Parts: sequence; structure tokens; C-alpha cells
Amino acid sequence: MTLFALSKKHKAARVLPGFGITLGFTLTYLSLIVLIPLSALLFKTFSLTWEQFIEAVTGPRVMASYRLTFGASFLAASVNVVFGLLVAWVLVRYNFFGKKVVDALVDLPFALPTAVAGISLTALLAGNGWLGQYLEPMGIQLAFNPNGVVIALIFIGLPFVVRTVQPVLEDAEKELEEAATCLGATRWQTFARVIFPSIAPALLTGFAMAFARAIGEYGSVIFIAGNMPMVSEITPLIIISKLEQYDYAGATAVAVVMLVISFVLLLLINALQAWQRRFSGAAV
Amino acid sequence: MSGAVSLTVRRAQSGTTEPAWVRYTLIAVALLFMLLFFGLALGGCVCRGLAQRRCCLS
Repeated sequence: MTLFALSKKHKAARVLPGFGITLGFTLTYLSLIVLIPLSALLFKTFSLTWEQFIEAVTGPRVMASYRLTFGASFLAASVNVVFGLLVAWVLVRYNFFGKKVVDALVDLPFALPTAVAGISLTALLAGNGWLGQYLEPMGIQLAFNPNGVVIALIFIGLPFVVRTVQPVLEDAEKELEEAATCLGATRWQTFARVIFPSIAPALLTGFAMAFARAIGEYGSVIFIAGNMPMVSEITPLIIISKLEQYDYAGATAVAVVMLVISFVLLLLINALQAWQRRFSGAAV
Repeated sequence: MSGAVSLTVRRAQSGTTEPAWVRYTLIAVALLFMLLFFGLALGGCVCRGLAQRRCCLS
């Protein structure tokens, strides 16, 4: 059989028409919106020599900012997974006074300008703020240090987890819980072995989205972080500082490192999700 | 008869819902979290804004 005949047979086997044009449109759109800007970023770094690149991306201030950005983002996304699940559970399963207000409040960080979030949190947690004036005499400082960064990232990341888990919880089959109860499972066993495996992929997705958003967050963090070099400086701020000093190549070098680390982490999370899906598929 | 039916229904429901104290604790923790992170932050910002406006007007 010739190659032409094989290709013709393969084409004939497709049920849905328009694969070629939709694939072409998707690739063109993806290239225009994502790939071309990212490749421009890469090309800009080529103006640096290898030594200059290494020096730009491994300076002590830059390394400290990577640690803070990725550490705080991971911590905030982890906190959001726990409390996002709790808020989603409470909103889906229980009725209480003010439920609709809480439900609407969850979406607030999506709509609120990030600078407003930063100003609000700083006004609350600074030494003369509503909470800060009571916490600081006790030695608890939540603003102008890395704690403030984590708090701002929790604020902006929560809706990603809640809005990802909520529909999955709403669609969860009650019959499975009833069957587990009929088979003698306690409520905790039903949650751990029936409900949790079904919402785990959504939780992971929520974590990935909250984490990705937190890595790139700038507006809310700069107000509350204090921006002290080596202590509370995030990587996006380093990039902005380099741009303000007209060090475009240095800024793009740091941006490329951020891009690569974020991409690898998101790939790992996707692989984990795929493994989890296969694992739960095999368990069924 | 109806008492027996309602008892059966309650027993069946207790298998798929949490005990009341767990329910109230979960609601309280979720509301406290939302109050701390969203309610107070926005309330504080609005109050400060209004206070400054009063200062500016007087």
C-alpha cells in the first residue's frame, strides 16, 4: 500500500469534518498570542553573552527574589487549597445566613484591581492598621515582610480554588455517598475514599491556577511587601527595577528564568493530574 | 407511624450529612477566614477612604 493510499484511508476514517482548518486556526492563534511574544523574550536575551546571562540571573538579590516568589506562591497556593476546599464545601453543602454574600465575595479578587487589594491589606495589617495595631505589640508583624507577601497571594488566589472545586462538588453523585453509607462507611471514610478522590483533580487544577497567578502577581504585593532587597523583594519587582534602569537584556534574562521554572512546575502539576486520573481510573 | 418514618429519614440523612457540631464548626471557620481576608480588608479600606474624605471636606 502506498503512502498516499494510507493517508487517504486515514483521512476517510475521521468522523468530524474540519480538523485541518481548526488545527490551523488554533496554531495560528496560539502563535500570535503566546509563542511570538515569548520567542521575542528569548531573542532579546541572545544579546547577552553566556557569562552576562548567568551573572544577571544568579545575582544574590535575584536568587533571594526567586526563593521568596516561588516559596510564598507555593505556601499561598497550599493554604488556598485547604481553605478554598472548605469555603467551596460550605457554600455547596450547607445553608446559612449570608451565604449569597459570601458566594459573591469570593469573586472579588477577580474584579478588584490588584493595587486596591494591596492597599486594603496594607491598611489592615500595617502598624497603624485595624489589625496591625493589636498584633505588632505582641511581636506579630504581618506587613512589610515576607508574611505580607504570602497574605496578599492568599487573597488573590482563593477564588481560583473555590471556583474550580465548587462545580465538581455540586455535580458529585449523592448516590455514591449513600452507597458508601449503606456499606458501613463512616462519614469521614466516605469523604476520604469517595468524595475526595473525585474532587482531587479539580483541587490540583485550582492549586496550579492559584500558584501560576501568584508567581506573576505584582500589583497587590508591592504595597504590602516593603520591597527590602534580599528580604521582601519579589522577582516581578526585580524585572521592573531592571527595566526602569534601562537594563532590558537583564530584565528579559530574569523573565526567561521565571518562564522556564513556571513552565516546568506547571508541566509537573499537569503530569501529576494525568497520573491521578489514571490512578483513579485504575482504582474504579 | 409518621414518627417512625421521620426517624428513618433522619437516620438515612445522618449517613450523608455531617453531625451538627461539625457543620457549624466548618461554617464558622469558613466565615472567619472570609471575614479576615476579605471583609476586614475591604471594610478597612472603605473606612479609611471615608475618613480621609471627611478630613478633606472639613
